[in-house]
Amino acid sequence: MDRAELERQLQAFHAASFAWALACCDRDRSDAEDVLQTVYVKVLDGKARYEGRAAFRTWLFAVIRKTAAGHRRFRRLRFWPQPNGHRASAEEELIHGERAAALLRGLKRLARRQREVLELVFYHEMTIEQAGETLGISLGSARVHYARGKKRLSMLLAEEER
Amino acid sequence: MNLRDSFAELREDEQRRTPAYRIAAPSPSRLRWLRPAAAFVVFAIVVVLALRPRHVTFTNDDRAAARAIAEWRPRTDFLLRMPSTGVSR
Repeated sequence: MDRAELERQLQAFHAASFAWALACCDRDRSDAEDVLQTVYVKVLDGKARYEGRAAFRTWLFAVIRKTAAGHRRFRRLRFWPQPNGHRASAEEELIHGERAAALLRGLKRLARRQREVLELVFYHEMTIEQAGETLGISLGSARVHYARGKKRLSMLLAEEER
Repeated sequence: MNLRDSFAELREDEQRRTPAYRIAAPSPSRLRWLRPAAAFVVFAIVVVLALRPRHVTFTNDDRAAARAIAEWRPRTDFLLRMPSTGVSR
């Protein structure tokens, strides 16, 4: 895939990529923007190369996830305090509707893998198999994370409703 | 509450606030200082190892002790002397 085609693909998936970066960065917008810029530069410079083994979006999401994980590790290594909190603020939650805010609270209480599988399946409308490919796990594991996550999230949301 | 609807609502909320697509010049990496720093540490270790004095230096006390050990003879040393000692030299 040449550079122009790569740019076209990145642009086409930009909104979805940003949403996935947000999910990988615990909804921190500035982190998500940093991660996405790093990913775009990596892809266009050929540091992350698309071999065509999976769908472009699946591959791109895997690169975003890996880059965000590196970003998180670096954050943990930091010696100096962060000027703004890492987690989404209450103000930010006010921006979302009540239902979306409850969903975010519920998602935060899930294990990372469960949260990622649910985001990929429900938010990005991937199949469980594609979600597994994105996360680099087997279909069986993805199914287990999906089932457990869905059950727990439904329970948490039902608790909130009461 | 339907999970699919909740996710759809979240998606709509977030997609409204998606920043425009752009590729900025890569910001200086936050890890950029790490490589030169690691290289400097390795270089410093190599320099220290290379310039480390290789010959062993002894103090006067060390020399005196060594001489005393070399010159010491046990009292029963004569028992080991054979009549032919020194003939084969």
